[in-house]
Amino acid sequence: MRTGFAIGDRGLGASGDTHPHWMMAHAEIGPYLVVGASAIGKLHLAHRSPRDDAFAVRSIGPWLAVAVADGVGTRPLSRFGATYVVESLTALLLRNLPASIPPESEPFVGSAAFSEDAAVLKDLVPPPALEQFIFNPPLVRYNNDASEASSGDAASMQFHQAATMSWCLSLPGDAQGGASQPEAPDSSSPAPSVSQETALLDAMEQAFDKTYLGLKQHASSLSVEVAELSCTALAFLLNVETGYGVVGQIGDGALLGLSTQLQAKELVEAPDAGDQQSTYTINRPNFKKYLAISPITPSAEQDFTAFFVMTDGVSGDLLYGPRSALDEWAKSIRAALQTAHNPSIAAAQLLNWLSSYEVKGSWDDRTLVIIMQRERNDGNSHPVTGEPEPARPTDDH
Amino acid sequence: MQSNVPAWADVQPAGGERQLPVYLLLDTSSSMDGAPIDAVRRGLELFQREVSNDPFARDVVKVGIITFASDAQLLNNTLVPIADFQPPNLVAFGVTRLDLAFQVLLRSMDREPDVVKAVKGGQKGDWKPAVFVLTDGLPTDGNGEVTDRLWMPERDAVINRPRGKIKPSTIVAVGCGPNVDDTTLKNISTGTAFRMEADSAAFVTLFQYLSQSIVSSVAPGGNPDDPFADMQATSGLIRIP
Repeated sequence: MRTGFAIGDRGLGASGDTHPHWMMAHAEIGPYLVVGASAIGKLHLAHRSPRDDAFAVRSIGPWLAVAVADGVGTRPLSRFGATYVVESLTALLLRNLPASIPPESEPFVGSAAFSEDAAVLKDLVPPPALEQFIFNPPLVRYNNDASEASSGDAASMQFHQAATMSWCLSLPGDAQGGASQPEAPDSSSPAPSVSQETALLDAMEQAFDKTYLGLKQHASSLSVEVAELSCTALAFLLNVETGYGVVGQIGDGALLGLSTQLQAKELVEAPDAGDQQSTYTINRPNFKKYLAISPITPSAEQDFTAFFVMTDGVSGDLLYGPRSALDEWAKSIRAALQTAHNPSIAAAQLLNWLSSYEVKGSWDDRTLVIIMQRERNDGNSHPVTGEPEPARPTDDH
Repeated sequence: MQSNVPAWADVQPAGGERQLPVYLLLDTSSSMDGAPIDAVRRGLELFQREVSNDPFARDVVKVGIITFASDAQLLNNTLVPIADFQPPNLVAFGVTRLDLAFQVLLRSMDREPDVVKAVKGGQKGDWKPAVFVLTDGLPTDGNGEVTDRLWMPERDAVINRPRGKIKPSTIVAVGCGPNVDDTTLKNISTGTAFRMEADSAAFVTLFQYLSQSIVSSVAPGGNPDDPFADMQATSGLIRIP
């Protein structure tokens, strides 16, 4: 059995609105660390309106699917669309994997390792405690000490932390990150055939098609017009063993790759609405006109060590400066993640950064999911987040 | 404020700042002489105070005053950050050449730094400009004859721009006094038009509305087609259906 995980925002339905103002999640898969965070924008916060962004990350075996979406601000229920879209895209991407590259499905109970490790396995329990990590919203001091809270009213703000953690057992041969010396994909990885690449592109297109149809049904179930669920959609699918994958995008936001040469580039360029106050959304009947899909094809010249999936609240602050500044940003993110003691702290720090960095006129919700390689075996060493642990905590939904 | 996590202190976004250009096209024809023109000036002072007091708008709003009578001009030849904006002394004289005001507006929108265009890998662009037109009469030609022949094509040139060119997010038209025409005001606007009395209280209401509209328009995801469409008019401003 190949295990997987699902982390990030949960879908919102007619039963209620449970979209948190801040969200973070993390996971490890094969040689990759995945950290995601989404922070409500300052203006939304000031106006007591909800976060409209959403993100979701799912995996099964070596396949990793990530999606982010930005609900249109003028639609009060757009977060219902955004949460639906990210959940649907990530689920469908994994479900639509082409037959030529199936996720493995050996039954766990039938594995050879079972009898050998049975004595060990039967006594496994999750770790008794987690290292404390602290989320520091901008209203609270770094040490989170209420007695030293930064300013009057802010000190009295109540924050309710809620989390779900899960641990996925990593078995030999499983790409869940259990290997003590994970091997990163490199240019020598077997390339998928042309038909497989086509199949990946088709899988992405089908995921968007079915998500569009599902979004209409979701609107119907909520008794609203589908336009009320307007949102952008960005999706990312990667095989962490081969490094091959595919990305898709409608509307603004960005999907970036950081090469081993430490240059950041957009993996796909979706049609631009022509100005920064308009965007294309997945709820439109003609959405495919604005859908851009592109394969991820590692090569000697283009071997990515990290990927960044983000809504326009972040990309709007990144893509309009000099290219060199974008490279520097990506490198500094990587360096910052390297200093985190564990994935939980990395995610919390990412969330804190998204919540607190200031650029005049940049008040939108900010969502960023980072997929970063840990140690490379090709001479590019990127140690990340401390020592490997026997079990890997994730926020699981 | 930057990140309060030391390891992330060096992580800086690469892009620059975004601003919201606001153009106020003010009728300074002879019919505005006296109390109305004084009320406009006081209204501008109120506008400056209210926008400057908003913690979001004050950092991004820049104002361009285009006066129009027998001629039209952009005061200071550029837009001014709201914090530095000084309400001008206005003199009412001449006819109502709205067409010339739209010409000045168009030239300014195409000129940096008045309005900054977004360039990937280059610079962060401004929000689309918001335009307010305040008039107390009907647009005329140079002889003072009322006509739609001159201003309409100039207004269309501002709205129907080639792809990639900057155009306003909205044009709100406000008519004051007894000599305005609802249909004309509606045609000047991109959908939102008001009429009002020409007394001081009405001008206070007008400029409060403008301030609130601008503050609302910087909300993320604001309606790109008409960011002020959802604004509720306050008493004294009569929305033209």
